[in-house]
Amino acid sequence: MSVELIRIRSGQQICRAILLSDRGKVMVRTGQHVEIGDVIAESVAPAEFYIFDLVNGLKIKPNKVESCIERLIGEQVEEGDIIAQTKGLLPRIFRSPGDGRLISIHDGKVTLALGETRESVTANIPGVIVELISERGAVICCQGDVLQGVWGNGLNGQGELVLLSNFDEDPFENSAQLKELAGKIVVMDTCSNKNRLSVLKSVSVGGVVVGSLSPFLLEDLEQLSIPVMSLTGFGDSLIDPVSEAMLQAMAGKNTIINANIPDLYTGLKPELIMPSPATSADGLFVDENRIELGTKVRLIGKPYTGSVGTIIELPEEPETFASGLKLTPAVIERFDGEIIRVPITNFEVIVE
Amino acid sequence: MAYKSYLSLDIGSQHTRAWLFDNEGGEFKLKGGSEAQTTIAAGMNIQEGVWDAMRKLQEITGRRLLAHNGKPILSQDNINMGVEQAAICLSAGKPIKTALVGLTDKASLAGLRRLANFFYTEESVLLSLQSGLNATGMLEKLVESNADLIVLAGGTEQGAEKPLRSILENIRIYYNSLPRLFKPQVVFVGNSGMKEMVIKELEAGPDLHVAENIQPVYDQFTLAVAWDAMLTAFERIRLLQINGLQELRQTFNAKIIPTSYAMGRVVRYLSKTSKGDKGVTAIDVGAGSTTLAAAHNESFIGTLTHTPIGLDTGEKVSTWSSIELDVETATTYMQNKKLHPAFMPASLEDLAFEHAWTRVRLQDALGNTKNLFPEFKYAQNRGLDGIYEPIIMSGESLVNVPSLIQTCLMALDGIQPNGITTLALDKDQIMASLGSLATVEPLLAVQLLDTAIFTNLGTVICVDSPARDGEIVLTIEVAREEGQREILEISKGQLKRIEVNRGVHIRLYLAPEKDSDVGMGKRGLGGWVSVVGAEVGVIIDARGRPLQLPKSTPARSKLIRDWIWALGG
Repeated sequence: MSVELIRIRSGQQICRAILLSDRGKVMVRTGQHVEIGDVIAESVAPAEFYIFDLVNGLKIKPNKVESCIERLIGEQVEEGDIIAQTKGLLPRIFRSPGDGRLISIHDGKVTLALGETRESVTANIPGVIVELISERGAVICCQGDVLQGVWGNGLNGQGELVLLSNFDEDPFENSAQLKELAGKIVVMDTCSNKNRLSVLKSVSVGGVVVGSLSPFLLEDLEQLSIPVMSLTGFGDSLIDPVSEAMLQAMAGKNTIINANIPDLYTGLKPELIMPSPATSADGLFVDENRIELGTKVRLIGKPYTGSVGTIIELPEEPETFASGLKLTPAVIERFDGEIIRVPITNFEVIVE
Repeated sequence: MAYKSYLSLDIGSQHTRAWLFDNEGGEFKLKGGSEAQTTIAAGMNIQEGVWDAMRKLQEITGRRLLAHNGKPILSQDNINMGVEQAAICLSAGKPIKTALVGLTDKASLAGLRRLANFFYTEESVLLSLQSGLNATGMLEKLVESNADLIVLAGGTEQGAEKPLRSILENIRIYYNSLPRLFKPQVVFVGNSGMKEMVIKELEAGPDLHVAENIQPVYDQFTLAVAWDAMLTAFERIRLLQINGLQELRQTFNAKIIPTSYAMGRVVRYLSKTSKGDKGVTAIDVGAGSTTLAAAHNESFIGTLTHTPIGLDTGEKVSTWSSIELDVETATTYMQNKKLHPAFMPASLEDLAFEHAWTRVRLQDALGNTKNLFPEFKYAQNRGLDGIYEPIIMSGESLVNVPSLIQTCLMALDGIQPNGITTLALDKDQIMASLGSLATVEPLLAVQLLDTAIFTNLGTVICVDSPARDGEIVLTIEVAREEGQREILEISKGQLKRIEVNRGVHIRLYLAPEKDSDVGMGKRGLGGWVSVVGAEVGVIIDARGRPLQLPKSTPARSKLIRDWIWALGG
């Protein structure tokens, strides 16, 4: 049985590993304070390669190649440096077309790695470096509130959080109010309208948080240059009350949106983080999977998507559901008082 | 025979399954199976899920498998505890980014795509000398691909050496000169005369896996010669990628093989032992991909298909749903299921989505297999040729159903078989586990497969006829053991179920109309068919190929519901 966790927590320690996808150099030290955007680690790779065929290029015999080479493998070269040249009064010369390194001389060919491209990973939360991960990155920790979602378009940002539901008037109908959203993280219930996203982009909002999204917008969202995250996924479900309470607490304050693309293998989820002083400390096993009486859960699947409740009973025997499938159930008391039975696979455990 | 017991572990992206077998009483039997959550996400160790599954298996079987320190007991000193040996198959893990490099598009790359597809790979770049790139361009493409696996083919036997040299140089640079987290694995499956040169030039040590040429002569592929090399490369990549897998391998001293490959082993064995000229096929509709393995005579075809989730698929799913649903609703369901793969359908509506999606995934897997292997006897407008019997179904959405009739109907609609065949179900999802144990204890797999390890769903008789809907295409005489005889007339478009109790034998005389084909070799040709009772019985499918669905959504959904009703589901 698979247990899905969703973190909606306030005043807790938040730790995130920031890692390069390949080997590189870690640019921070433990105990160092970092801000969003600070480089944590970077790797350097050649910007381009240049392969030169000496046999054909210099018109020499293959057995003469070695005697023409002026450089060693691994040696740094600058633009115009002679890499190889023939002997004689009028030597034929191969010069490096750019700054770089000689990486291979093989089979009559010289390969140069030219230029540099740097891939760096940067801090996406402000905090203190608590652990270095050799050649990959570091773990940053801070204190604050976190609200996770289930889908994101892979972008990050920060800004003051505003809930459109708190406005007396629909800002989409009021251009003055709309302009005030510039740089802010905008929260709205659902989004099925491409035009609304375009409008938000045109006023340069800092990010968008929605309860749910239409799958028809996916292609546009993946191309959009502002971070967007969905709290419950796709469809038309509204923001659940637990998330709503957290959003209200974050409203008007500077909040970080890391709209990570969800990854079941790395456990990465999109999230909103609001740094603040810690009010409690994590227990050792705080994130352990736990389905037990009293656990707060958020439901998945129609007609309950996004509704929140508490487990009040865990029958041991599987039950037959309306679909006809026999599944292990959990009895949930929803926040509105309704008691329902759902399969144990069809909810996320809320980690508060 | 000395007492022996074996453990088989099947690590999927969602679940880790553990199976215990022993030969108490002479023959090998299944003692029990268990399931636990796979622990593969960041910060987790894959071993935790395995120990959890083994703890459950201990409780179920009453046999002690784990010592006090929580480690497995690998000994046969005490008959009440431990196991002699274990086998492990694995489907968990992201698709392996793979560069396929060959000399020509048509010959080399086509063969490489067929080979690599079955090993959980994802083509990140296809490179050949025909791709119009110079050596620099090719190297840059290779670097961009960031491949963890490079599979290289190099022409026919005694083919030219020079073109391969320039490609090798690029691979050598890619292998040696980039700041990668771990070195890529390289598999060479080309001209065997160049093996030594490849070993010398690449300098990749244990990261290079050399096999015989998969294409000894032009346009003829023998993929099996490269399987060992692919298995080793697959294992090395996964050991580096998955936390705890290396320790697991050491603890059990067991090779980690791909689940798809283990399933293929079973299919190949069943095909060899099947009577007559028929082959065997198995299809597993899993959480992330659909695995298809088909064996006939000496040939084997194996593919993995990842059906994309998008509006196109949403449209197909809405087409195959037994309830009326629009494309957006279907796409929403699939996108949410991708976010929550463990989700189980609790409502009739969700079940209808799930079953429609399963049909689409089956169709997609067959179509993809046909693309990769043109010799595969399937056509989109014709369905699957009748050369495969049985067709074994596996995977959560085919196994976890309110009624096995629904499994049969999903299989019929998704596969659209022709002629006469049998549908079987890997109800316990044990097929791959048997396959992975096959090299550890061949007798175990053989003895288990001889027993009713798969559920016999029933016999399917498909009628192909140009007749119009409602016209009689087949007359059947049903001769039951107790002497009862019954005559049935089947009309075009009809789906009919003949119930036969399990274990009961009946004989059917098939008398097709002169234009009707029931798979007896010729239109109009009929004859006697002996059938043994199964879960569903006999299904007569006279709906024709391809299945025709009405354009109107309500009429289409009603027709699919009518088919379910016709079978009594």
